[in-house]
Amino acid sequence: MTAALHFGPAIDVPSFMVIIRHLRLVLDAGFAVAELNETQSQRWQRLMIAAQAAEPRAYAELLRESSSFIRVIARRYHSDAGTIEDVVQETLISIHRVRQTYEPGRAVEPWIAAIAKARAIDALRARLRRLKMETPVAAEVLANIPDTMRSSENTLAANTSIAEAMAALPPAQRAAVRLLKIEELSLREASETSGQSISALKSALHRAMLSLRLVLTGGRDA
Amino acid sequence: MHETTSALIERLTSQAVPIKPLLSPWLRAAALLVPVLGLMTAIALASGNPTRVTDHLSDPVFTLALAGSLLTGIFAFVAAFMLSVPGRTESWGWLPAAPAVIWLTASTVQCYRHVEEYGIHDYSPFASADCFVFILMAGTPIAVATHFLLRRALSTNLTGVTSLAGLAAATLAAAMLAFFHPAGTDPVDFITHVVAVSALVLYMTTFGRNALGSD
Repeated sequence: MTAALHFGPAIDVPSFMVIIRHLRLVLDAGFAVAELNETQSQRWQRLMIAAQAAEPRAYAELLRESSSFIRVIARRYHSDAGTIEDVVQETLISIHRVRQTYEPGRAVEPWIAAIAKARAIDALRARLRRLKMETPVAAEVLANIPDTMRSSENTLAANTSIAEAMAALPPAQRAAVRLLKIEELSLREASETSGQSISALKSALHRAMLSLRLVLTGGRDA
Repeated sequence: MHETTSALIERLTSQAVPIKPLLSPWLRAAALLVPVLGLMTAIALASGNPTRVTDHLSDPVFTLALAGSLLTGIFAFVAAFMLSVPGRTESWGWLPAAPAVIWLTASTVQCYRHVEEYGIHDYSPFASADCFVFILMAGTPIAVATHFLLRRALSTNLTGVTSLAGLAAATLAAAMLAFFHPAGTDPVDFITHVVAVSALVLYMTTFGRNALGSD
């Protein structure tokens, strides 16, 4: 005696595809509702996890939305609009470099806030360093500077001699001066741009500054 | 900065590649601690004098000093890895404080006992130079390994992280020293241990900080 095997009602392929399509629509709608109901913190967590997977839209959204958050933190430390924007950008660069340190499942805000705070303090330290190197000049001293010294011809001459001195530098030293002193990149950024190690850049910059000082002062200040 | 924030976001987005999140700080600390403790135990059992240590374990002050030193190292390790991740509370830095107090207090009691038993005699400041060398020699490889693992994370508290890493390496080395050292600590011994631990902490804070960078 043979028993006929029965696997239930047969479904043809087109009907199966329609069911799948409906299922997907239901799932998509479910996800859309879930996205609407999620808090900002949950949304940032989702975007951050997607950013770690290099999903460009989610990553751009996260960076854009977190910029305002970073700006608020930067304002606690700085009042100058330019500096605040510098802090925002430095923080975004740091977030990009160390996005592997975000641990999925944890809140994103404290992670970003800690990086933003560190960058804001870095900017404060840089400002203090600059202030230490600058000497205030009294108004009467400025008034006594002869006009000839302020003339555009002198400025042009000075620029020309700086350009000539720069051109005479070896390429690695010239690159170090351009990246670190003119473009004001950080050592790490300059290292990534030039392909030189940080210690090589430091050494090249040091040698370049000695050479420039020697050439521009004629050895008087060297 | 020469580009606008929007342009920067576009550039960063275009440069993004998939990355694997780092393991949790607990796991990363464990990944280093387990082999370090295993290696330390193997060296202590093979070349040290484990019998002398087990004989003195009945003395609570000796046991507290040894456990305090070991736990300071372990807790400092965990704290360094915790603080190496942005956003973790800085209170983690206090984790090794309690065992460190136990270690220092128990060692002070050992010194007091020594002075009470033998009196104050002419201590040579270099009598325990071997201890100093041992802590530095044993602690440096641990410090280097810790530094290597910490490099992958971004630290927003470099001084805290590097000093905790130095403390971890030095106090673990000091705990291992118990297997190569006469039981009991005299004042010169104790001061030498503290100076060696401080030297490694200072070294890590100064040079480890530069090497980790301020990113």
